[in-house]
Amino acid sequence: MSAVIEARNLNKTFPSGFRLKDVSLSVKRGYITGFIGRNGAGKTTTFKLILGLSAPESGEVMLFDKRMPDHESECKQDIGVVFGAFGYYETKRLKTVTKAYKRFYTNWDDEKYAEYLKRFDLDEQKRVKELSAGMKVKYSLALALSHGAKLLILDEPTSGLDPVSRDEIMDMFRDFVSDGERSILFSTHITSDLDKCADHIVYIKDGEIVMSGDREEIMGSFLLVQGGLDALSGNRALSESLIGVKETPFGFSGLIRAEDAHIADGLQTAKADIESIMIYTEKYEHHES
Amino acid sequence: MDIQLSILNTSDKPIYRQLYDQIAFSIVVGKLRGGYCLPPIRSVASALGISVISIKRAWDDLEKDGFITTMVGRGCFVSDLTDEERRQRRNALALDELRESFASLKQLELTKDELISLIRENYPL
Repeated sequence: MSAVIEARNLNKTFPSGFRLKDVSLSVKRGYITGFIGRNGAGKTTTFKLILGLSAPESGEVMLFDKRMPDHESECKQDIGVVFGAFGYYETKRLKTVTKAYKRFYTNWDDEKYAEYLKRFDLDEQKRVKELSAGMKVKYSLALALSHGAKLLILDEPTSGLDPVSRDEIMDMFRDFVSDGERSILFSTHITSDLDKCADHIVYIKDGEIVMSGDREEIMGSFLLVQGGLDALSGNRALSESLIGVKETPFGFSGLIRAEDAHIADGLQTAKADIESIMIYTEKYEHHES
Repeated sequence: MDIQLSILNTSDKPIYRQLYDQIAFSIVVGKLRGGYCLPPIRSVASALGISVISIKRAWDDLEKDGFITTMVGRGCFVSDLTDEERRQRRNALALDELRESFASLKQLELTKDELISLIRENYPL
C-alpha cells in the first residue's frame, strides 16, 4: 500500500518546553486517517511540520513520495488544507476571497466550485463574518475541493458543527476517497466522527505517537472490564494488566488488552471504543503501585 | 457484602439496565441480603459519573419487580425474599439474558436439541 504522507521521526522543541518526540505518521492512498489526541497534544503542530509551515529539528516528510521541502509548491497543488474555521478577510464577500484564492492553483475548477457552493448551500454574496461556524468550514472545504486536490489535510474540520452538519461532512469525506486514489488526514476529538469514516487512526499524546493503525484493529485490541472492588483487590494479575482504571466506592471499570481477556474471566466485559481507549489511557491511567 | 456498581459506556445495555442487572443479580444469588440499604441516588450519580435519572429509573424498575422497597425518608432497602421468590426471579433474569441471543441462534438454524447439547458441552458450571 503506498503512502501519500510519510513523516518519519519528526522532532521539534518549542520555547514553551513542548516537544514533539520522534513523530512518525503515514497516510495510505485511498483511505481516511483520523488523527486524535487531547487539546495541546501536538496535532496542529504535526500538521504544520508536514506542510512545511514549520521546520522540524530532525526527521523527514515525504508527500506523494517526494521529499519536502524540495518539492513544496508542486506537492501543495495537490493538497487541500483546512485549518480550523475560516477566519481571514472577515469583511470580504466569499466571491472576492475565492477570486484571490483560486489564482494559486493551476487546476482550479470553476464548475466544481459552483457545484460545491450549491451542495453546501453557500451564498457567494455573503461576507465571511456573516457565516456560521459550520458554513465557514463548508466554505473552506469547497475551496479545498475545487482545485483537484488528491489529499486533504484538515485540522478539526468538524469542531463547532452540529451533528447533522458533521454527518454531511463525513459523507463528503467518504465520497472523496471512494475512487481509491484520494486520501484524507483529519484531526478531531469528536470520536463518533471517527466511527463514521476513519479507516486508520493515529493517536498522539504529549507530543508522542502512542497508537497507530487500522481503527477496527485498534478497537479490537482492547477490552473494557468491570466488577466489584473485591475482584480487583483479589486478582493481582488483573490489577497488573489494567491500562487504565476508574475506581469508585461501588466498584471499578477499566481497560485491558484483549490478549489479557482470560485474566478477566468471569467479569463483565464490553468492547472498547476510541473514546474509552483515550479516556482510560489518559484520565484513568493506571500506575502500578 | 457491599453493593457493586460500575458502568461500561460501550455495553449494549442502557445504563439503567446495567445498574438494574448488577443489583438484581446480587440479590438473586444471595450476595445482597434483605434489609440492605442502597446508597443514595445522588452519591451513586457523582461516583459513577452518570445522570441521576438513569439511577432513578433503575431503582424504580427494581422496586416494580419487587427487588427493593422504598421507605419514604429512610431510603431504599433490599426486599426480604423467600428462597422460592429468589429462584423465580433468578430464572426470569437468566431467561432475559438467553432471549437476547435467540434471534441470532435462530438465524443459525439451531434446533432446541442442538442448542441444549452445545450448552451441555460448553457451559462452564
